[in-house]
Amino acid sequence: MDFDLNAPHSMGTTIIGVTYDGGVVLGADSRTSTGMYVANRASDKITQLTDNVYICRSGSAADSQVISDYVRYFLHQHTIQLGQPATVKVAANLVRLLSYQNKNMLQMGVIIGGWDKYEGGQIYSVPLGGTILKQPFAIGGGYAKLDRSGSSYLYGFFDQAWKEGMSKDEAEINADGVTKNFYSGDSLPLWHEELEPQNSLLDILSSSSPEPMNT
Amino acid sequence: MSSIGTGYDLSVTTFSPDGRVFQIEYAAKAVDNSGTVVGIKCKDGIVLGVEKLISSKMMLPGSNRRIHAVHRHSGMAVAGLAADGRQIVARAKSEAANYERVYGEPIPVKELADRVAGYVHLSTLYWWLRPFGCGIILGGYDRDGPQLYMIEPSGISYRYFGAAVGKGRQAAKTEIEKLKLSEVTCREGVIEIAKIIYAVHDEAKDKAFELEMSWVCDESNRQHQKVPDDLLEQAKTAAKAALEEMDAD
Repeated sequence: MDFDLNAPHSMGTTIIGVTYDGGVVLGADSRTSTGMYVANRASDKITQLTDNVYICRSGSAADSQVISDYVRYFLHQHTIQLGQPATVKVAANLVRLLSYQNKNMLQMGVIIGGWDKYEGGQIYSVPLGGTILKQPFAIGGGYAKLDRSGSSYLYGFFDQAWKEGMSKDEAEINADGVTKNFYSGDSLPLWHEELEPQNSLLDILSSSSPEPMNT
Repeated sequence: MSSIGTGYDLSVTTFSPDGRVFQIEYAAKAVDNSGTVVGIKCKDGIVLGVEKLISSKMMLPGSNRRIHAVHRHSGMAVAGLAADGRQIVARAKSEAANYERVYGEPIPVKELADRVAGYVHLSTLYWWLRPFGCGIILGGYDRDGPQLYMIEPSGISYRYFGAAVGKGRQAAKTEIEKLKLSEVTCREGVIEIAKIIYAVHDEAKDKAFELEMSWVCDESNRQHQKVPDDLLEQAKTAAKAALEEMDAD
């Protein structure tokens, strides 16, 4: 058996994002492979971009990490300039500009998910090539040489299981369906992190609409 | 109130002993001598109005526009040197387009005001440039509601409920302060602005003028556009009537 240990690490990944009434649920498996060898069986493919926006990465690990780093940096500056948290749409747009303008060199497909006060929970898909597509739910992954992710089966599952305006528990069951049933790759005992909703300190600055002062 | 710089006013990169930059103050004088420009933030949007002084009877009415659309959701009215104003408007349009291309959403009005102010300020930092001789009233309607900003030749930019620049600004500001802006709709605001501009126009010193108005409000679908002709006519009639009432006293 020939393991090419110097093959580029890629993620034969399954990633998923689902909107529900009040936010989003993101899910991903945890296997990173170099060819046939599992380089990391406990990888975290869901990466934070800002307080309120996360990205699920698939494809080349290096490419998606570096793009995430750039976008995190740009969003940080944008937030400072704006004086309030960046919107999910802006985060997704920055990812796709980098993805599209460098399509010759990159190989990654991502799902951006987050919450902002204007549009609520949103999911944006940015697959290979740099398309941007806003969706109520998104599935993706499987950019390893042979498509060994389970994502194709999910289209069928979602067709049957997804509906508009779900509650959080219903949405989580959806994401569970992904990691437990369809992809027999490594996954950690289902560990999920629910972020406590927090008012951004920045929002305090622009809270109330002012009235003219009385002279 | 105005004093001669006597040597400290030759360059925009020179401070006077009492901490003033005279070139910037002189730029402001250029604005003060131009026709009045007024803007108000009403309950449901922004109204901008310009007293466009007509220098020649040969000019086509409707030409020489002083109010410019910067983006779908925002517009700018310029007082002072018109050519300088054109530069600033071009820059604002470019900033707005660039922002949308990078961030995927229309530029927030606050951000636009900051960028225009930064650009105006830039020309006060270098001795080989002269300050812009323009006072700009920028009005826009974004996700945080309608907002009105005024940018001065020094590069200062503040957010306002009501603002006025140009010849009749003192009188205009007094009139604006009398209005209860949080209860006035844009339709009513258009009439009020017309009245104000007609009232502050000095018949003795300046002959003819043309009234130019625009708005961004719920009624215009949050797009910046010229006030519709019928409403404009209505406003002019009301303004002329109000003027006669005043004169009749």
